[in-house]
Amino acid sequence: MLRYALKRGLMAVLVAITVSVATFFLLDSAGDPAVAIAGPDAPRETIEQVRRQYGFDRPWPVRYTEWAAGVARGDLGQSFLRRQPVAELIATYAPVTIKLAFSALLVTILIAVPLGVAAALKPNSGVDRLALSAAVAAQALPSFWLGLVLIVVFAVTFPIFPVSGDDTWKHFVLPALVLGTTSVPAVMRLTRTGLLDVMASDYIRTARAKGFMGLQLILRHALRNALLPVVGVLAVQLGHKLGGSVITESVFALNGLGRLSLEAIVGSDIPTLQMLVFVFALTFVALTFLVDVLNAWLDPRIRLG
Amino acid sequence: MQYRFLRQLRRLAAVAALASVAGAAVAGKANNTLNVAFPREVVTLDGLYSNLRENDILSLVVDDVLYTVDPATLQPVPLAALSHKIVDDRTIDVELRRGIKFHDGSELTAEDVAYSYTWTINPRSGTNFPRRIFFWLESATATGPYTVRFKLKAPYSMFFYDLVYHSKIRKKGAYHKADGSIDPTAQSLKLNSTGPYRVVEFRPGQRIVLQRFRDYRKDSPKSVAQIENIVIRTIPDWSTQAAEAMSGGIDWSYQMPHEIAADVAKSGRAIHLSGPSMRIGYIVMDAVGRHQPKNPFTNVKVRQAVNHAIDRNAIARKLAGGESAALNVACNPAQFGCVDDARKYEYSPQKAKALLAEAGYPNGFETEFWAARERPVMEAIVNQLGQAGIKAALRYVKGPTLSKAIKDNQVVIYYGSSGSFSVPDAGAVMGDKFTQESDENYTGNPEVGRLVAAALNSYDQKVRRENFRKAIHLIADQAYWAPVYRYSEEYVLSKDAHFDAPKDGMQRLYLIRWK
Repeated sequence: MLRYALKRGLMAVLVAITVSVATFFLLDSAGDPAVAIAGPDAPRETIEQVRRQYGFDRPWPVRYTEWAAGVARGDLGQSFLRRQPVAELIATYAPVTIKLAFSALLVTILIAVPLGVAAALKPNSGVDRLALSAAVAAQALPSFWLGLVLIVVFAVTFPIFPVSGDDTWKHFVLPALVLGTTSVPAVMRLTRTGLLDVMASDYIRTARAKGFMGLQLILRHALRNALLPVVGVLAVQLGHKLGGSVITESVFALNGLGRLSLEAIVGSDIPTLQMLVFVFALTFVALTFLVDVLNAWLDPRIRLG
Repeated sequence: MQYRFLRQLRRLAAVAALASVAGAAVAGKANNTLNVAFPREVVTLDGLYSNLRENDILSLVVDDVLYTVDPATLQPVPLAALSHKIVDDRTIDVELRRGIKFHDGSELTAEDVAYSYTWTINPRSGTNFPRRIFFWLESATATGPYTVRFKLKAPYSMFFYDLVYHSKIRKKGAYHKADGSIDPTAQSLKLNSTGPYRVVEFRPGQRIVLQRFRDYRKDSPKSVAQIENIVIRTIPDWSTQAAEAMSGGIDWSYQMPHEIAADVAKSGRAIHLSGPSMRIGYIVMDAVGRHQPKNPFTNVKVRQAVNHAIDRNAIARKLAGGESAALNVACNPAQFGCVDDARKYEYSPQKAKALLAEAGYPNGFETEFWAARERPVMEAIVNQLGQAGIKAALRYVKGPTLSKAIKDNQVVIYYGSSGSFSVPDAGAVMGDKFTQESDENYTGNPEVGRLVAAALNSYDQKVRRENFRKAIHLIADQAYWAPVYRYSEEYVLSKDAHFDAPKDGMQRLYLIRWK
């Protein structure tokens, strides 16, 4: 088990390094950081002076090595736009995104798992088709549109929730619904498929023979096993929500990492953008690693295969 | 196409809100707090280090400088200054008003003013305005406790306007640490200034809370602010701003697209105002051949063809809306010196085609049209150029990318815009775009630069007007630009708030009152 974990850990580190190199190279090619710092109206001499002062005139591999060494020391760089340490910025904006991501994940679970169970209990029935249609519809809706519709209904027409902001738990209800809905189809389908497989297995037949029926059978015996692969998908979905809430945070004016990313893109704030992409990638890599290890621990066929 | 579809979807959502009939939430009047929405993030309180309009608006509320612009006459009037004396055409003495207090309770002195200007022109300060101030200011020195002498490098007619919009006054030593080292970020998060409001909370990019400054002078030309608190939030999405306005969450916002703001007003829950703006939009062509020496735009007939190809009225009326209007000159006709009697190019694709044929392009030509804002307008322009035979591919980029491309001589035709910092003087835009030193001067005609410089360097308004007139006529005759339209400023405000759309498009929050 330890060997497996180490192997996966090494893979995760390599992926993280590759992502950081690719991000650095792509961002370096995308814009001129000297212009971003000096300002669009700065004279050419000032831009050249900034380029020399910050060392942008050196080749990117040299600058990447410096950046990576800084990150290793805990120095995440300085935002061009805000003239603040990037670490401070991320620490300020991350709590909102984390709160939103977990709230959205809760919404996903609360909608997708019961729908998946209902669909699996009566496969190919009207309930199954309705659940599938609802899931597909939820996936098809653009999140900004769904967000605006929810605002119109629940904040303007019936002022139950606030339109925007992130001061209280109420501010997170509508954005969590928007962000959570997008993951419903994947989780619902996996719950349905997993449950159908488990329901056809021998131990469920035995449980039935022992007299376990209905919800007791589903909840105590079938669902536990059927949800194992779902946990893996939820971990990936959590990664998506932590790094993919740009639109939702913009629509609801939430001050999270998504908003910070958008502002960094608009303002050509390359150090912030570089670090945010790296943090999102690291989150994905860490979550995937954890799921791999968890699955291997639960299922010996994975680690021995 | 996709962009248009998304825009329609967003608008649909905003329009859907109009159907709602529930009562509005409690607006800011109840607690004497003006809730303001900004579309872009304010990341520093220090207006010296930002070129965002949001920072300009904030600075007008928290910073008092030597002069301010009277919103009625649009003329500079003394603010922290008491009077001035023009000693000679390069020396101006300014006497300060006594008893002006910083937000920390200390009194404003000449030493503070001299320090502030010396800091601004210090190349190490890294402010956003060194070029603007540096090009005319040689030094600022305190000649007494309340008198400051400004030495100019050359006579400069825009002196007072630059004091209004391109400088800030800080306490002496504000950017210096105890050990003598400098800290340009010293005022970013905690500002000590002299304006009618002081900052009581600042979360960069998120929220600013302002409170009326108790020690603010009662006889200020800015008048005494009537609203106790101002809370500014960043809400980047226009539809969200519209919903906030309709639910009573915000009392004032600006720059909302005209069609959304009009829809908000139709709901009866908020007011929509359109007002004039100093901002103008124009097409610049590479007449001098900076990018390619033999590019088509070096031919005056091609540039005139571009001018005939643009349907300015349709763009202003149907796309921009509000107070927008067609533009025919290289400045805003609301500005001093901006005569509107230069050669006009009426919309005529036929004339454009004929001119292209005369220039040796009977089948038109292909080019790349660079732009960084107002995408729907850019699509319309590209389409209109196409109808005249100029097959332009739209290269839509971010502002800094376009600026860099211009500096690096990579563009032959682009769309630019200038807000003139809301200064009602043609020098504000022409001084930026047509002096010999300007990166954006694509004319290659030294006479244009000479005329503009002559207007900038004279205090005689007749001389200035005449030089501007000649420059404007020359630019129009040679079709160096294809002026497109004058912008409109859009405001959405609570029904409880009283706000007059400013004539110069400069938003002064301290003038807002409750009805």
